[in-house]
Amino acid sequence: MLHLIWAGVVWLIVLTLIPIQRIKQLWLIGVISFVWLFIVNFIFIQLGYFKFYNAFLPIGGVPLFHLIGGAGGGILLMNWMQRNNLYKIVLIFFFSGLLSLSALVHIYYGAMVHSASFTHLE
Amino acid sequence: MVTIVWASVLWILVFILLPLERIKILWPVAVVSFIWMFALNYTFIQLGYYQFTKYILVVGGVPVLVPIGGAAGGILLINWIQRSAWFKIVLVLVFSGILNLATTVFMWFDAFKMLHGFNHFLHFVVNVAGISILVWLSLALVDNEKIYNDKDKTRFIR
Repeated sequence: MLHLIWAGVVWLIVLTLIPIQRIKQLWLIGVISFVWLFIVNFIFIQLGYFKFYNAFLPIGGVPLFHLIGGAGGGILLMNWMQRNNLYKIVLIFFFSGLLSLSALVHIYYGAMVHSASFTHLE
Repeated sequence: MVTIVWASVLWILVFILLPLERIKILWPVAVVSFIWMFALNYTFIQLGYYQFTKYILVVGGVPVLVPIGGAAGGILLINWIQRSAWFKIVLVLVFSGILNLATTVFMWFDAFKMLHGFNHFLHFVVNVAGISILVWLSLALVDNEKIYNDKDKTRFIR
């Protein structure tokens, strides 16, 4: 359920804030984000660092809607990207923080569990 | 001893491979690499993920020669950086791998210990993140035209 809410909220933000023409320009980023998020999650799940629970349609342990939400997140990230390299660092830190916060909510509602050695620093 | 070898080898590589004019352009990269490598090592040491066990001069658990070597490594990294985003990914992955390799050598000589579940995989992930940020910081500090377009980047390799 939580993964559905995650995907719903992220895509609602995308469709509310970004004009359709802009989304059409950035659709490829949605695809890359989906694939990359799957690879990273799959590797960390297989290595036993974390696990998703209450997943609807999991692929290799990764909930499908988690990836769908991530695709929307990738579009939001690149939508506000600028040439300035310091701005890039701030934006990456900000989105990393949002992902950690989202993981915290997932853990809070029992949709995700970290292994003992894996912390929010990683 | 290992930290002396680490710093010496990297700085010798810099002075052999790079013309002095190129080093003068890239000196801010050395400073930012030193600070960034110290900050990352200090954070991970304080959080108990790893520790250096053999050193000469240590500040907050970080042997000073490690970030001094890292400063040279940063110069080498940015010296060969190119505009292509794909090239940047490959270069960051290669340099992260080299850092992992260096850590393995440090461990062979009992100069480095991983603790509390920290391992080579997590170390590689941290290296990729750390070096990516170093690339952005360096590109923000040094004139990008000079980084990318200088004809005399390397003494012997064209």
